[in-house]
Amino acid sequence: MIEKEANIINKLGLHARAASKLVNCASSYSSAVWLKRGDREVNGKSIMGVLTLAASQGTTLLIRTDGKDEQEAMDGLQQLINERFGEGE
Amino acid sequence: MTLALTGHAVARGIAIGQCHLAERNELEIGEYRIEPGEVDQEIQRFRSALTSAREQLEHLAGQVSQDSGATASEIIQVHIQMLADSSIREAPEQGIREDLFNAEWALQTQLEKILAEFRHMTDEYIRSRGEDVVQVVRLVQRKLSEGSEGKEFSNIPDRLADTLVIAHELTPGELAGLHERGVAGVITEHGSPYSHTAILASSLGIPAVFGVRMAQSLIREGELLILDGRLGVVYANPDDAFINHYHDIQRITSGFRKSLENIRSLPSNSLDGEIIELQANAEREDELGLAVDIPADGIGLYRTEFLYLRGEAPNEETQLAEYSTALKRLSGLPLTIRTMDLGADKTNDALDFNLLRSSINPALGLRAIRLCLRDTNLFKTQLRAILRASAHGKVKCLIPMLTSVNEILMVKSLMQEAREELTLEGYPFDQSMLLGGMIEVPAAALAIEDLGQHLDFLSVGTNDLLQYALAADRVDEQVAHLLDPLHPGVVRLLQHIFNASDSLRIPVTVCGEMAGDRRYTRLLLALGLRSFSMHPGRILEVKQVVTETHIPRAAAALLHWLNLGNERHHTPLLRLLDQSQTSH
Amino acid sequence: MNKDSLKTGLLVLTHGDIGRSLIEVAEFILNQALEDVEVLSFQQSAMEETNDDEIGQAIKKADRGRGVLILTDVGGASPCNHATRFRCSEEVAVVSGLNLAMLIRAWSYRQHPPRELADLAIEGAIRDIKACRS
Repeated sequence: MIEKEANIINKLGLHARAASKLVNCASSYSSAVWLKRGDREVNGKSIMGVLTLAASQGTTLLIRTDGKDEQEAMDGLQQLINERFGEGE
Repeated sequence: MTLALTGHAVARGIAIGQCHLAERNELEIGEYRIEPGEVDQEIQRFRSALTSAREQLEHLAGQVSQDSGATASEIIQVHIQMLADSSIREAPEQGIREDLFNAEWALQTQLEKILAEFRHMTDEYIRSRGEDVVQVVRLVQRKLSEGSEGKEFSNIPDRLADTLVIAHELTPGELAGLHERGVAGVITEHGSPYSHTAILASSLGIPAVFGVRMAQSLIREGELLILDGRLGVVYANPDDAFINHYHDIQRITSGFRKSLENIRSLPSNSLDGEIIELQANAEREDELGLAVDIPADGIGLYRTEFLYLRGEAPNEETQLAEYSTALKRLSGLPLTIRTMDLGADKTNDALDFNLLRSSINPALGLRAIRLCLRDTNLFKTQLRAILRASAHGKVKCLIPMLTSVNEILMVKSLMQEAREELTLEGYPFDQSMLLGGMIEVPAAALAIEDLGQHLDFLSVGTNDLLQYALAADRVDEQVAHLLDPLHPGVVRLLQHIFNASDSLRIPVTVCGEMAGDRRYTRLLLALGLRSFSMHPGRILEVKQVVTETHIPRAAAALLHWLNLGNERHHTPLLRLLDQSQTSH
Repeated sequence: MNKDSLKTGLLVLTHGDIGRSLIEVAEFILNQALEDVEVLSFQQSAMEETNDDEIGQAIKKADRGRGVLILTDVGGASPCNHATRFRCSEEVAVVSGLNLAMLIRAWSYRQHPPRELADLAIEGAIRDIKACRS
């Protein structure tokens, strides 16, 4: 099990399309993925969950991955977030 | 007789055509209990409906992305993902199994649970995603009720060229469907300009107006309509004057766009051979991209307020990431970063700006550099981030709303502290990063000789400069008309700024709206300005004027106007400047 | 005067202030004043006892040279039954079941003569009556 923080840096935060890409990414790994913001934790593979996290720009999330490919999952998610979900904003 | 109806302007553009009123197939959702023996069958029925809905959306996403790129298909992707989410895909099955609800009822119950969650969201944008969930569920409900052939609308013809569709409301998928059929414009009675459908309309380039109350009742089938997407108005049964007017606009717009394309490849030199710098005001990804495409000579104004309007104040890493991304996007073009200018009409609860609220006149109060020099931690964080960014590309730092030399000296001292800290910590940065000041305060404008000694460059913020100089609030429509750039006092003020900068040999740019307004280009050139910064979409227009201006002639006409006595009041300056170009 | 530029006059005849209120809302929606519209209100009981003269006067006032369309909230009230007998430049038509859409429709198409305008008004009114689903 790995836990690591990530900072949401893109301008619109985890808006619908970014959330969509995050869920796609998380779902491509077999490990379980959890996202935590404050005391609220959601399943990273659920679009509804991720949307209701309402993570705007500047928010820090705690990512937890747990499973066979947990390291790849963590790396993949971190990269996606740091590259602003490919939006460049 | 022309009937004018208004709504929310959603997507720019003008559409003229016949209207078609879209009739929605009413959905009858039967909710009843099933027998225990029917559970498996019901679950099967539910799953088929889900599959059918998913296939429809995937088909649409594929088609849409071919025509119109990423944004459109991403929006539909969100719907597809919602369909796959366990809260929609699995949870209703529990309702079928345990409560013996039929599929429709189980789904509806689950929808209500989801919507209740969304209602708690404070973020307006996220809350309106609830709409998307409703749309997705309705699609599944329709599949359940009517099978895979179930259609939303009962009466959409295959070809919609020259037709404007009026619907009660539209989902992104439905809009994409209309787009495929070539619809010319779209009107809805209900719908927010922030909805996904609105975003899609904009990205597909379909002129649209949403929220036109009673449109379907007030407008008749087949009636001629003019849709003005920019104003958010629909004209039904327009008389000839309207029709001719809008036809003209359509023609001029396309002709104008073509002529601007020719300008793109020309250098921005005046007729007398002066090289004029045309930079862009940009901070958003699309604006930066546009600046690179035009191409602009650089980014003359990169505003940073957006970083501070998102909840918590941004830390150094966040800012650095933002600036670095911008630099990467600019591939070598210089970036002038303006430190945060939060003040009068941009306030935020998260930062402790109670100070702003309590002051009687926020525009004249504690904002921009004044605020930053009070909260030096906040300010130094930004300075550090800007310095670190300078290692990744050509960066200049711009201080807003300068009033006194003292302020500049304090900024420099903080900058020095930041430099020393970064050096100790081992972070690289551009040792010779330039520091400039925005001239928007009239007293500062009159004291350039003093302030200019301590700055590497100047940028004139004409929006606020005019506001302060003419003592009129640009947000107050009752006095906004007083903000006349051609007021002799303003012209003299600008002349002073440019002359003083010239004597000191420091470069000066104008980055206010005036710089991007082609009506004033000749005036600014005549006053001595050689560097402009504006919204990237305006650069080509302004360049066009630059390439058609002989500056010495314009300057002579300006001088003549300034020396007029009483007649000045009746002599239109802009016309004089234009006339100077042809007669000599 | 050119016949074609004449418009049908509108007379809104209702119980209480319904008529006036609807006109206010219509003006808000259209963002302009509704010209050529006369209003006549009656207290609850007064309609039945109304003097034909009052209605006759109102119709004359509403008349713009091309007849008058009366829009009323309740059909079957006796003044309306008699309305078509009133003198005015052209015919007088009456439509009941006034709603907001009817008023705006009638106002937007008043270049049509009264009978046609009545049909258009009714069409608009009906279109606006539907079940509102979420």
